[in-house]
Amino acid sequence: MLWLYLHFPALQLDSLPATGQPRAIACNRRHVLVQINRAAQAEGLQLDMGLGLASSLCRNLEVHPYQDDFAPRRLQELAQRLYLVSADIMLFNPDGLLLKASPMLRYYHGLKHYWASLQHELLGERVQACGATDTQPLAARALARAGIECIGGDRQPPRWHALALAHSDLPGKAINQLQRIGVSNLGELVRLPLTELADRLDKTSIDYVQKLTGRKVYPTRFFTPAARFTRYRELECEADTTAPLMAPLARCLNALEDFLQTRDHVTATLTLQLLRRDRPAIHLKINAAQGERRAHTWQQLIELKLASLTLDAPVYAFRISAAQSYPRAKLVEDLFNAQTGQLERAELLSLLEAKLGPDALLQPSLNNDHRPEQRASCAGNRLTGDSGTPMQQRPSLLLDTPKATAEPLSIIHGPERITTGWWDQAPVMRDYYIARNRAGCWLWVYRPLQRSGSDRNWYIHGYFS
Amino acid sequence: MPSLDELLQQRTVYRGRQLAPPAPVRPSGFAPLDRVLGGGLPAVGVNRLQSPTGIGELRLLLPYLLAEPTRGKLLVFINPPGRPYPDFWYNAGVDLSDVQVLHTTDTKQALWSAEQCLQSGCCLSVLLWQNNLEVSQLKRLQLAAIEGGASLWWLQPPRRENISLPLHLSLLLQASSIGIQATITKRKGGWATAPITLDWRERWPEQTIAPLPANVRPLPSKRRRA
Repeated sequence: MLWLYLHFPALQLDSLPATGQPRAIACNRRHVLVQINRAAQAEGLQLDMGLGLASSLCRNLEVHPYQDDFAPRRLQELAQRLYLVSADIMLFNPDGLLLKASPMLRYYHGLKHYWASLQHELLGERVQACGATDTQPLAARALARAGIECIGGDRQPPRWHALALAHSDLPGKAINQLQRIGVSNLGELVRLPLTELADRLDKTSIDYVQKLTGRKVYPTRFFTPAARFTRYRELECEADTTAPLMAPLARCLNALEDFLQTRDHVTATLTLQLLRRDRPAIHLKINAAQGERRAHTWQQLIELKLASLTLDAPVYAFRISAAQSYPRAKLVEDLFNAQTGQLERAELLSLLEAKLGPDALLQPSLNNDHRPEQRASCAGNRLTGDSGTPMQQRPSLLLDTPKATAEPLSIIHGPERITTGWWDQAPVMRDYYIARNRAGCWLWVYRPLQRSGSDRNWYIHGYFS
Repeated sequence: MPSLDELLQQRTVYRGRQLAPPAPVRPSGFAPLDRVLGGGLPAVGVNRLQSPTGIGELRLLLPYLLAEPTRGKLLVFINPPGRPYPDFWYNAGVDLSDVQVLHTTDTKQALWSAEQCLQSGCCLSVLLWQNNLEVSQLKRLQLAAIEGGASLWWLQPPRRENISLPLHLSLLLQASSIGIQATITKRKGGWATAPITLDWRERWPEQTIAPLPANVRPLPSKRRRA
């Protein structure tokens, strides 16, 4: 089994717009540099360098704080992108992806093409990555983290034996202990018998060594793509107008188009959330008349929406999401019926549901209950097979909430007493009548029974429309 | 200058005596109405029913909605004043799984849904309860209805004003003790008529009142104090 590990040394830095100036991401807690760009490297800065030293070495260093929640989110997006070219992906938070390479080689006719298509995708995401392959997942990880890019088949001799212990996932304490007994690289480590190591190292370290050499199987939990599209982007600098939003938005919309295209879906509503400094976020809903996935159409709609917006506080980030997407309508070609634009019923309903929300759609069903409300309830227990015999003399429309009335009515039929429902929280004790008002409307009216309280009003409950 | 024959062929000129309606019709189930309407109610297009709620406006449409085998086409109710009571529709012979009710408070969304349903081609009829519609909206719905081969029935409370609207048919309904009274106020390719009384005493005996014999006079009802 061949595994490919991708290490992303500077995820957050890569997400910022390109610059020629030295720039670094610094950890808030330890005050050391965790990600630096080329220009900063040229100035002599290094990773894990203290902020004080860094700023004295490089006067015009641009420092951004490290965000804990950024990398996992970005990793999800990268996995989403790579999912199109590779099936089994495992996330290693916060900065790595493990890909199961061997099943994919068949489709790509070898590792070379597979790696080329992966690189192509990563180039599209504008992210630096270091890839390494090995027959063991953790060995590939150690290689990639060491910055050694080695893409080779499973026949080649393992190259991780020469790696220093610091590149492994062993805890610092264990590395210290091993260095004290003269073990400096991973090759020397795995050459030692396990029983001897067990005396010196703790359980997690032994576990790691076993997984590194393949004596223990590394547990795999593969990534499944998210069902809905959502993207969060921070702006380079806070924006007082909506114009600076458009470029990053366009990139997100392209990603949305790809997302929908691969599923053959469209969406009718996008939610755009503008996060503002010291003010509550603005929520915008952008609706399309019909399901749409093309980025430029959405961009036009968003531009229209944003044109009417005035910002009273600067925007520092936005989040865009498509709450629901549904299959694109296929055109049904009927040989005998020359009608165009035909939809399947399910497609129509999904379209309506996507636009109006699931609560707006109801389908009547016969429920096995004598109480009118429960009888006509649409949420109903449709699964109960016996729905009882349909009753005669029932209105065609039933009001959701009965309407109290005081107008003079002439009673034509009735009463029909419905007293039931004592077993649950909605008992009904009513006398129902069919009545006609002066305008000639046929009404289904009721009056609560004396016993059920002092309410003796007449209520309209339905129309014989 | 085209000749009259050419104009007739282009259907830009109608003959006054021509009773055949331009749209295909479906029998309404009521002989007096069918006679006046030239065979039945329009099967395609936008129509209006002006009626108070509860005088039998849906019962008037029932035979029409069930006139032809619908092959599982949807019957859509948009913003009805109440939810369809299952027993009534079951007894009338409607397959409940073909009925779909939509509720939305937004007029724009209601019209959008109506348009989508009409042009989808999988709906038989759309019943839309709406107080007011503009000419442009009606035209849009008309196009959608023709595209999908469906009919829209717009139910509206009776109105005084009479603006010419692009409708296939407009009926004004009034209550009657023995059934319902329908007045054609507008018909494409036809004329408005005097009220036509439809006798429902056989079809819906419970929702009709037998006229009193001539020698019986009702007592004056007691006046209520406000």
